Amino acid sequence: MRRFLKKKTVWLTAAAVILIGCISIGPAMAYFTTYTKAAGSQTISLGSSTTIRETFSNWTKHITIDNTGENPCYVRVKVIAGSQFTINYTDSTGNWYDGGDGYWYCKQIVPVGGSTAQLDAKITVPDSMKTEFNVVVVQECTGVLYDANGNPYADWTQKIDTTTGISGEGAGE
Amino acid sequence: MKTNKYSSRKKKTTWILLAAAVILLSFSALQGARAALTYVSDNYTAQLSVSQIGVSLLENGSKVSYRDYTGSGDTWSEGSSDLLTKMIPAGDKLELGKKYQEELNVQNSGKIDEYVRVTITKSWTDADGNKVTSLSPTLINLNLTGNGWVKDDNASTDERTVLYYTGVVASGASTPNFSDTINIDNAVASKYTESSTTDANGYTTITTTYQYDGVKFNLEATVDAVQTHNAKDAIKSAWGVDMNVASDGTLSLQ
Repeated sequence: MRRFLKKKTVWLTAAAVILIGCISIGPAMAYFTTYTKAAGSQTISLGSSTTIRETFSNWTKHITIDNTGENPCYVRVKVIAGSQFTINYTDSTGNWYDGGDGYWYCKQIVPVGGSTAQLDAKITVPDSMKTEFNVVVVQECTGVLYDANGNPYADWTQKIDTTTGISGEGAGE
Repeated sequence: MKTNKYSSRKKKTTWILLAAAVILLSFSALQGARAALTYVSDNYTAQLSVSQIGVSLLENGSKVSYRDYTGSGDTWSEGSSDLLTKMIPAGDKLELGKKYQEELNVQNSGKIDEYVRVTITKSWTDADGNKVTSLSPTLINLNLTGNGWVKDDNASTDERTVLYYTGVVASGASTPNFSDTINIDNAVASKYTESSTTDANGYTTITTTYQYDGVKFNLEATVDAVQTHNAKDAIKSAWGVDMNVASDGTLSLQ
């Protein structure tokens, strides 16, 4: 027996067996698992662009706003003139309302490529006016936002201003 | 004679040791294969036959991603398509604040019962695909429903949300929706720069440029499934979390 234990082969074999045995100690348990995943994205398009279209006749500006941008928007309009002039707005379509803050607001969302209904702004010029003057139309647009209930609204604290104007007409007699 | 006897015993011993080594070696190989069966193991099916696990992700009732074991070798039936492809009607653009339907749930498309969890990742990237870190992922509002899903607050961040479905999902069954709508916060439009130019006639044009025009929001959902047998240890091993498993199989976070 002693001679047996002295054999190098025996010890080497035993060491190999122990080492191999150690390999099998403590492996992770096998469990049934699986996984799957999916991803997607969407682009945010912000910004609105509108253009004023206006004609002038009978001391009245006929104002229409075109949505020339890539997103639907709300618009509002204000006509600025000297205090000696009186501006009377006329909305024959019922699509505008007076916001009470100097602006007239289009009720509807203006779709991409669409236009508002016409808003008329009649300018009353005092007879005593003898000089050239300007009456400027300001229009603003803002993107369509949605509240928690899914209702669209305009936030006019976020302004995109495009100011345009038309040179004043000649003085009245 | 004595020499022959010794030689015979020596050979016998050698053969016994060789046999033992072979047997242990084979055990070792077997255990090694099992040891590879971890979280996303592709190997664990090697020595297992009938238990076919599978899981699918459904978006608005349609399967968008799945991975099911076929029961044969190391072969999986799997596929994936993009999320959000039908979110916006053709020709329309995403509108801020508007809630879009995004009903997500999980189906057990395997043949054994399982537990599932979902990891939702939200992020922003610019037009070049670079991550936009100045925009908070919280502006991407995926509305979570509850419905038996619990959020692991310890594992969740603004960008990542980890949800566990607390019940057992039987083979062929589906979980309730873990989300129902998605919308982008209006605040994304609050960031812009403004510039003005005055032309020769003295008219000034004010132009605003939205800071985040053209950015993309990204949504990713990863579903993990694990067997229900020996659930506590299986979940710990596969997902690395300690869960309580009630007698009726209901999971709860520790």
